[in-house]
Amino acid sequence: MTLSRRTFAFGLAGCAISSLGGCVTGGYQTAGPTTDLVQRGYRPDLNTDEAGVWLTAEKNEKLLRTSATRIRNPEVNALVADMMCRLVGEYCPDLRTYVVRQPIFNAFCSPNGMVQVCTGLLLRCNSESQLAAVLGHEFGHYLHRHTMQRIRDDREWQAWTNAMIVLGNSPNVQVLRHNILQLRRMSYSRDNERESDEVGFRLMVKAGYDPKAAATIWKNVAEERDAGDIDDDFDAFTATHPPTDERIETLTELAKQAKDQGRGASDRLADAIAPIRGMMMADEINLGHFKQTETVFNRLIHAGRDVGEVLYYKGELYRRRGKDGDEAMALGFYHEACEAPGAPPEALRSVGLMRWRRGEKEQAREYFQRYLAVKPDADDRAMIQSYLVGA
Amino acid sequence: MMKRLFVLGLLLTVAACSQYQLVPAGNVKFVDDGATTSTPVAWNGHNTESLYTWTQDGPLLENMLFHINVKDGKTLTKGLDVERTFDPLAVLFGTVPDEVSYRFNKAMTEPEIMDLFTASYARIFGSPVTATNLRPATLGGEPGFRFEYAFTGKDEVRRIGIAVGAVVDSKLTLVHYYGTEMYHFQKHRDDAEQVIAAFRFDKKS
Repeated sequence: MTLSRRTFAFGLAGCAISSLGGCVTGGYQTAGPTTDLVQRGYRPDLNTDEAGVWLTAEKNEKLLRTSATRIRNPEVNALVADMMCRLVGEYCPDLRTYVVRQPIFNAFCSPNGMVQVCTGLLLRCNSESQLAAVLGHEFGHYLHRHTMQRIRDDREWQAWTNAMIVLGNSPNVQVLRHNILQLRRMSYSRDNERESDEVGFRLMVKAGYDPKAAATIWKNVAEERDAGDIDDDFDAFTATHPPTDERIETLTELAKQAKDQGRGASDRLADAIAPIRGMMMADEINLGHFKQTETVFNRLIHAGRDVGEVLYYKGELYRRRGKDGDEAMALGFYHEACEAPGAPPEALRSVGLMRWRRGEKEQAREYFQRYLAVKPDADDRAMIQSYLVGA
Repeated sequence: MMKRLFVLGLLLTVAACSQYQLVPAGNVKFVDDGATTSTPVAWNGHNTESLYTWTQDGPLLENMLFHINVKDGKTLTKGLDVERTFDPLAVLFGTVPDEVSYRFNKAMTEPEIMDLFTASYARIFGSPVTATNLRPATLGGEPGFRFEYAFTGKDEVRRIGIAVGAVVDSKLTLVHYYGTEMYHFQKHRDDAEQVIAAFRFDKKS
C-alpha cells in the first residue's frame, strides 16, 4: 500500500478536524502513483481502488456487448479496431473498440480499455486521419490513467477542503467548498485533455496519418458551433475541455513541426461507413439542430462522395423544419438528389409526395412509378399504389 | 438538448406514475376531443392535453395511446414543442437556440405523418424508432393509414407496436398500441385492435 504524502497529510488533517468523521481517504489503497503510464497487459491489484473502477467498467462493457445501441456492421467495426491497433501498437490486445449509435461528436475510453466510438463522430470525420486523431486522443486518457488520476486528485481535495469545517458548517461554507472542488475538477480535466491531444497527435503521426487532420476536426467543430450560433461558452474555471480555438492552434503548430509526414495516408473511412451513413444522417436530423446539421451535410456534399444521398437528407432536413419556403427548398434538394450519384430510392418517393401535396398529380405519378420500379419490394408499396390509383 | 430530453423523460415518467384512473369496459368518451370508442376490458388511463394513455399491466409493459385532433402546426405532444420555451426577446431578435420542433402539417402525406411519428417518439423514448408496412386503412370510418413500429428502449427491451391514423378536418388523430415484443404486446393486442376498430369521431352538430 502506498499513500502519497500529500494524500496522507490532507487526509489526516481532514479527519482530525472534521467533527463529522467524513474521512474520505480512509480504507483506500492506491496501486502506485497515477502518473505512471499504463504498461502493456496491465491489470490493477485487486486490493486497490483502481480495481473497483475497473470492475465497474467491465460490468458496463458486458452490458455494451449485447446492447441494441451497438453498430454491428462488420466493416465499420473492423476498420475502427484496425485503426486502434495501428495507433497503439503493442497495446492492441488491451483495447476493445465498440461503435455505438449516438449522434454526438464523441468517443470514450474507459480505464479497462473499453473504447466507445459514437456514430456522430464517424459522420463528422472526413478522413481516416481525422478519426485517428480522436482515437489516439482517447488512448492518451487510457495510457495516462486519467480517470484514476481524477478520482484520486478529487479525493485528496475533498480531504483538504474538509479542513474548511473550521470556518463553520454554514450553507455558505458548504457552497464555497463545493465550488472549490468543482474548479479543481474542471481545471484538472482540461490538463488531461491537453495531454491526450498531444499523445493522440504523436501516435497518429507515428502511424503514418496526416498530421493536419487533428486540427481540421476541431476546425469542423468550431464551424458547427458558429453555424448554430452557439456561444463559445468556454469558462476558464468550469469547462472540462480546453477551448476549441486553443486546441486548433496547438494542433496546427504541432502539424507544422511534423512537416511532410503522413503523405499518402490511407483513407478507408468513407467506404467503411457508407452502409450506415444514411442512418447516421437521419439520426442527426432527429436531434432538431437545423443549422448545425446543415453544416455537417454541406461538408459531406463538399467531400463529394455519394452526393445524392446527402442531398436527399438535406431535403429531409428542410421538409421537417417546415418554415416558410422550406418546402420549395426541400423539393429542390430532392430533385437534385435524384440526378446525383448515391441517391436512395426514397428521394424519388419524396419528389412524388411533395408534388402530391401541391396537387401536381401527374408529376407525382411519374416519381411514384419510378420509386416502385427502383424499389419493387418497398414496404410502403400499398400506400404509394393508392396514390397512383388516386392520381 | 440532453437536459430537455431528461425533463421530457421525467415528465413522461411522472405522468406514467400518477393520476391513473379506471377506464371501465364499455363505451368511452374522450372528453372535449370529439371522439368515442369502446373497450372489451378495463384499462388504467390518464390524459394530458389531447393525449390519452391507457395500460393494463403497467406503462413499462404495454401502452395504448390516443393523439386526438392534433392541429395544423402543432407537435404530437406539448412536451415536444421546444420552441415554446424560447425567450420571447430571443425570438424577437432572432437569437433563438438552434433547435426546431417537428410539427404536424395538414398537407402532410401519410409517409410524412409516419415520419413525424417515428421522429417524435424517438425523442420520447430516447431511442430510434423504425416503422414499416405503411398501408391504407380507416380510422373511425375515415380514410387513413396504418403501420407497424418497433424500438429498443434504454432498458434494452425491444418493444413493438401498431398505429392507425387519419386526418379529419385538417386535424390528425393517431391511435397506437405498443408492448414488449417478448410477451405483453401480444397479450393485449386483441383488446387494442377492438378499441381501434370501435373508434369513432363525433359527428358535427
